[in-house]
Amino acid sequence: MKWLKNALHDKVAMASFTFLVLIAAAGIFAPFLAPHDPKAVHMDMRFAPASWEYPLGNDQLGRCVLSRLIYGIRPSLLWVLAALVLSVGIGGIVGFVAGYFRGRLDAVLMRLCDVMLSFPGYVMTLAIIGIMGVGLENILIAFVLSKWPWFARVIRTSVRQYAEADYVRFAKAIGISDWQIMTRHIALVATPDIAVIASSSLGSMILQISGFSFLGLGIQAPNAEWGMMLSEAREVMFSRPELMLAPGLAIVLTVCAVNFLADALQTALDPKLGRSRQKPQALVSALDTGISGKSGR
Amino acid sequence: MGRYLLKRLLISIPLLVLVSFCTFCLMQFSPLDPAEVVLQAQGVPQITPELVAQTKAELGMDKPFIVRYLDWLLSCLQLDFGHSYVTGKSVWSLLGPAFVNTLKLTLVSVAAILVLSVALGVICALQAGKRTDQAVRAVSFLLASLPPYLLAAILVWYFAVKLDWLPTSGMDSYKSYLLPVAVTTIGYAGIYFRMVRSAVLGNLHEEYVRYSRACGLPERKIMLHVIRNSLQVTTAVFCMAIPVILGGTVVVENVFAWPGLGTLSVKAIMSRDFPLIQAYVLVLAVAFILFNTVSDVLQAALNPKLREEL
Amino acid sequence: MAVLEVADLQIWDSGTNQCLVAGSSFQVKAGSCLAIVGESGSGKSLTCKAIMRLNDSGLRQSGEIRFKGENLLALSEKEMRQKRGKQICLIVQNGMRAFDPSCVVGVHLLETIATHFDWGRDEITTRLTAAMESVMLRNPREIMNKYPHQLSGGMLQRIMIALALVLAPDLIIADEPTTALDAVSAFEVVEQLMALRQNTGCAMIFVSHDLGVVKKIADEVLVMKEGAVVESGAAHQIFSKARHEYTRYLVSSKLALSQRFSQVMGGVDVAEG
Repeated sequence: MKWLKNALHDKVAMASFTFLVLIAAAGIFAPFLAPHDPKAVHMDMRFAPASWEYPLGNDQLGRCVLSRLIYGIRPSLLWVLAALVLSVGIGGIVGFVAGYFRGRLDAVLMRLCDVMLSFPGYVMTLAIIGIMGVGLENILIAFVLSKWPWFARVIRTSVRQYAEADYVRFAKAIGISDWQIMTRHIALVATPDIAVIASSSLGSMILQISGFSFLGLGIQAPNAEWGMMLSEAREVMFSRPELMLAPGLAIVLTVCAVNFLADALQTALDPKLGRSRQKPQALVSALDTGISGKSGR
Repeated sequence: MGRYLLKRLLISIPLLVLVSFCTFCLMQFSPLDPAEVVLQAQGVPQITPELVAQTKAELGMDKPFIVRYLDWLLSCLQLDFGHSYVTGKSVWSLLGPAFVNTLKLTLVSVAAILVLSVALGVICALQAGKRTDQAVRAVSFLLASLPPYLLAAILVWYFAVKLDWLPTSGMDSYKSYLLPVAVTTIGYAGIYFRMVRSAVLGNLHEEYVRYSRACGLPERKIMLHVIRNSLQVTTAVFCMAIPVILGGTVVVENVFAWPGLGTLSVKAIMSRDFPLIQAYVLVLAVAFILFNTVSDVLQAALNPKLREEL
Repeated sequence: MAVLEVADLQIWDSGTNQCLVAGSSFQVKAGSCLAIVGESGSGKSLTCKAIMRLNDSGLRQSGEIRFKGENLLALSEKEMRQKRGKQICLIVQNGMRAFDPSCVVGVHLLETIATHFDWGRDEITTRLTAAMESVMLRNPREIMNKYPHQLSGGMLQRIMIALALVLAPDLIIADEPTTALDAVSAFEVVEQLMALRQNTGCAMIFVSHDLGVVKKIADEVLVMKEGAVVESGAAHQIFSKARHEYTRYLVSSKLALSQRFSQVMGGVDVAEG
């Protein structure tokens, strides 16, 4: 896909992409990479500075900071990614169906989304956690439930724009089945839009989920997670501020990388920064000359 | 214009009813039995099934669903959200003051965000691509990647501890507003200013700007038109910023021990205090819908094309 | 006496270094109409915008553009702005997007006239009303209070012509004014433009890819292809005895289309041949 290649031409985007892939890999292979057990407590090693055995030192319970950081990749990044994929998936299907078929189905689905979107994101998540209790799974479920209507709405707008294009009408007129149109024509053109939307949400999702863990509503101790590590470090902030460094940097760098990538994708898609494209290009002009008989162009 | 306003208000009413119904249903999905929660909070040593049934009857939970819902709805309209399971106090007596405190924080922050984003957005759009623009965008990018609690912690450590200029927590004087507002503003302004910037940039490329220049109109007059058009998009978002921040101050309030909705809701969740959680969700959802309506009306006032479609 | 003399105008994209217009030269005599024809992408609009110095900032231009003796490319931005509207007027293709969508059209008209002339509001309104009536716009005051999306393309074009009437420039550049219009509206707009020329005695540059319209309005024709001028000369010569192969191709294609039309209409002579 050309736009993806364009996006990765930008050196910063390429660097961010590589960085994220490495981090994700580190998270997946955490048991092999982490030097120590992240939950192992060594009270005699509390607040120990960096050493050869513990490259990033030890926290307030003597646990290895580096190991906790690596294991923390899973809930802080990988599970968030999974939640994102799930909510984009659900929202995508709903949005596609609504935007393509329109009419009453569209109205019903969008009313449903409107009702769900009437609850501000944070509030919805808090409510669901309030009912189901704290924990990582509940937070992720809460996120998926509160985010999918937003994705559905945005994807529906995008799909609707494409579904009204002349070439789709032409395809319908010559009898191509709805399913084929949706998968072969619209999905291809709508994918860049969806990618941009999804990638721009990833950054804020990571921050929000780590925020919930910071409040103690997310993953529970003694599991490692970046937000929770910051919460624990905050308690000893005035005496040992350096404990906030490792998880803080980890979050900032990861979110920065995600945002760089999202920006690059968006710029590759729409260099004028903010103007929506009028209609999908190549196919349209090709069909245009064929049908309306305009000379040149 | 008046007709549009009326139509918009009428549409919100069924939405409000639906939202209240959903909120009520939400609480029924809990795996925990609320009667048990009450008994646990009261410190009852042995929770027998008879006690649970008795508590249920006391709380009116044995009545049919619709009856309970209507009862609840009616009392909500009278601002009676029931009593907290944990403390036994009326929910509104806890929620009301917390709401006001959070509202104060929100309004001050939104004002600051508005000023900062519009100023930065316009400046950066006009200087697009040049050094000012790049610098501001780089800084805002970095700040937006910072989790708010980290930013708060850093600011507290520097301004409150090292320099001792500002209080670390609480809501005493106007000084205690500075840090929480700063953290909230920095977090949101980073996002909003980019939206203003892209709206202004998009407008600068529009044909009417070229035609106005071709007619010889001075740049400042053209800029007024551009800003006016850009603000259309941004008005909607800024209007929605109020309920969004209202619900999103949870972390900031926690860090600064601000006695608002955020701290209250977290406490309620930790102790599974359902009436409180229920009321919190309902109040914020209603605020959300109301502000959505206001923002739609404002948008229609600025963009005449929207008045014709509903 | 040439109102406009363009010598060796080059336009290139500073980002990709692609040459968009390669050294075009032409003249517009006072009171005459020069038509620039060519396909889309041949550089017609770019040339017009270059004359007004309104190209996007990524495009650079070089050469000489002498308007009444003055080199426009050497003027400061302020001096150029004073010339725009008052001495050189632009009529754009898409009327719907030419006006600020959030204001009524009257606002733009009043602002423009107030920028160039010192008249009071009443006098401006009177003159505008007269001009709009002369371009066949009924109820001018009502129209001035309408938003652009409430008016048709043809009406918006005529509003732009009315504005040009009031401003009375020496040169009017009409950039594909009829391309976005249906045949009837296009006919009316062309009539108005011809009347405008007659009444004010201004020179005109008329850009189009519709040879039928060009034949009606132009005195001289400039043919552009892919950024270069391939032929120029008097209108009747271009249409009957074109020298360049491309020009002949353009003329014959157009002829083929309208021949079919005439056949279908049974040989009845309609608007033009």
